[in-house]
Amino acid sequence: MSVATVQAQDAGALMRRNLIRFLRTLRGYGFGVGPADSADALTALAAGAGANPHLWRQALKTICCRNARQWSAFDEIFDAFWQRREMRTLLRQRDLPHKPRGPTFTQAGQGGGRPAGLQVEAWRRGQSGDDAARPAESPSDGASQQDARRQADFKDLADPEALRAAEEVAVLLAASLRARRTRRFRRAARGQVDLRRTIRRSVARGGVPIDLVRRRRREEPMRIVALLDASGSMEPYLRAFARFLRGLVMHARVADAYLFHTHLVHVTPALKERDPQRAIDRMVLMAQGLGGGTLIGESLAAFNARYAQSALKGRACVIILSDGFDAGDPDLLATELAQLKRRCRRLVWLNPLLGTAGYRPEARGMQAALPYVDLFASAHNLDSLAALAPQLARL
Amino acid sequence: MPAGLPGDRDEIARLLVEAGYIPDAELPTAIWLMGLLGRPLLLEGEAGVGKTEVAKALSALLATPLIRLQCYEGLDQQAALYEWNYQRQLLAIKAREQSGDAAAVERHVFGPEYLLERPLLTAIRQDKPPVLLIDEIDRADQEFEALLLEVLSDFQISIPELGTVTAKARPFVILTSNGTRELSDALRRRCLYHHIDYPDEAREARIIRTRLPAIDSDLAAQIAAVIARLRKENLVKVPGVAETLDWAAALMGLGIRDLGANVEAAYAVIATLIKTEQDRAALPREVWVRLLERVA
Repeated sequence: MSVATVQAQDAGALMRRNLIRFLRTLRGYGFGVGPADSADALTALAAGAGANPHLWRQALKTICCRNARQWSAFDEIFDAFWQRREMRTLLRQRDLPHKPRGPTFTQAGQGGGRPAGLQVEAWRRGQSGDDAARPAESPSDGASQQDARRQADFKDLADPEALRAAEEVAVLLAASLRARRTRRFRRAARGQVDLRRTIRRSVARGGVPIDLVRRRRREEPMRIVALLDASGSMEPYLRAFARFLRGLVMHARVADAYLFHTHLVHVTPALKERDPQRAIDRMVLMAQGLGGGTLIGESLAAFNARYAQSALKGRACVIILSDGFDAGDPDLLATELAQLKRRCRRLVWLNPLLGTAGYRPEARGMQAALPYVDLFASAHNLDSLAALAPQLARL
Repeated sequence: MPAGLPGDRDEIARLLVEAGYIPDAELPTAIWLMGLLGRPLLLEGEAGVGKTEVAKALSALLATPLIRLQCYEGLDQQAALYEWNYQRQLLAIKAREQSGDAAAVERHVFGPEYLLERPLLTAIRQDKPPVLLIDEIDRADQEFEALLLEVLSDFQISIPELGTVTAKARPFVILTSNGTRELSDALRRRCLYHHIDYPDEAREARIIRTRLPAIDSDLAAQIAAVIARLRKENLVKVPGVAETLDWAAALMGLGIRDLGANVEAAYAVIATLIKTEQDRAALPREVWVRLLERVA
């Protein structure tokens, strides 16, 4: 064996070792790279994919990425690992929560402005800076101590019994939304005759269709998308509504929840936390991280641009919980609502102020919104929430 | 490795261009890996970036048939795999009623001549590996994905009455999606992944010249520049490559050689680019004129 081949073998072994380490790094960033992918990467390496960095990157990118988010984050992770190894530590210490999978994975390049980034930001405000590296864990009591006085104002709503009831109301509400008929069939006792199965059965009877098989369209539950306004004026209702959203997310078959104020944040994963108190705390904390004047139009625009396509497919009911006090442009609000309305089946606006005696929806934002809303109802107490179920069922 | 695909990426890139498709830098590698690893390729990207065209170019490159399965909501086994021709079966049963041998009749009516092949079965039964395009997989429902997974992992379909059909040659499978629904992890795990972006200005100009060989190359460059700027505007429906080509063809039909000198005429055929009323309102004549003046 010549010296050259020994060296080549060593280089090959090193490359393979580095590859395995790189795949582990990718998993750390939330890439679902399995053993089959590792084997494929090795096959590609053996076929000469490691010949130059350019080709090597493209090959690994094709094998390891699963979606557009990973696709756009890949290059940076690749460079950090293969070209500037010292960068790797830097990248890890960034805002990017180094946690496998789930919504905390963001594009490595852009920390802020995205849900996980916001989450971190919110966390930092509530906590001292050095704990900020563990965003998704342990919700703090810090924020609630800080705002002890504000909380005292709505302590009647914060009592556990009332909150649990809010969650139960959500379950009823979810059930009241009618299911959608799909174009797929299932066997049924009654319905139209399923020719295919009937004829298959008739073979046993010498071609005489004696056993008739029937079929019916299958039904699919309606999707629910809830958008909760977390502005200062909504604060007294925040905990109760957060609990209500949790009820929707946990019990409806397909439901999604978002929080908005100046930005829009996807909060479904946070709400799915097993301990309800922690889930609500996380959400309240996120709401406090948003700050500033309410921009309903901008938030809806963000929803329409980023989430609507996947969140509203099929038949969906969008519930907006807001008092309609908007610091933004009412025209934008109207445009975005119109677009939202085109995409969903039902647009429901729940306004907690509607229960207050003498309140008229005269806020500019509310005025702009009303023409697009299918159901405009009050939601200031449990009874009003419970009263929604029959109204929704009728829609 | 399925036969027919060159083992060299540059060669693949060259052949794609020859087949009329101008690939981005990464696509030839993805196709090379498809051949090397025998895995399906999932193509994602906005509508109109040329996902379907990749499959067409690949089938031209390999000189094999392109078998296309267009997905839609409610797509099921009977429309994707196979179905029995019930009417013929019924006729055959009636015609043989007198023979009395039920078993023979049953064997006969479940013979291959009563089988209607649907795209997936057709793809598997080819002698030469075809290109199987599963278009807009996100439109089919989740249940169909499960069925597809089974076919894509073993490349065999079992028909209870006939037995199992195994692929003679593994097809090259291309799936496309543009995100109307989140695909299941299981399906993504099976596939290689490639994300197609809108082409940059230079590549778009090349695409125009390739597709419309008669076009003036200055005009092609101008068109690509306008489109690149247009995509940066805040439009509801961003024009894709297909729209670009339509517009270029329309301009050629009008005999325009220089956009700067024919602002009005170019605006007149904007229907090929702008597909919603909102975008039309967002792009009034003045904005349009400014856009053209900057380019020409």
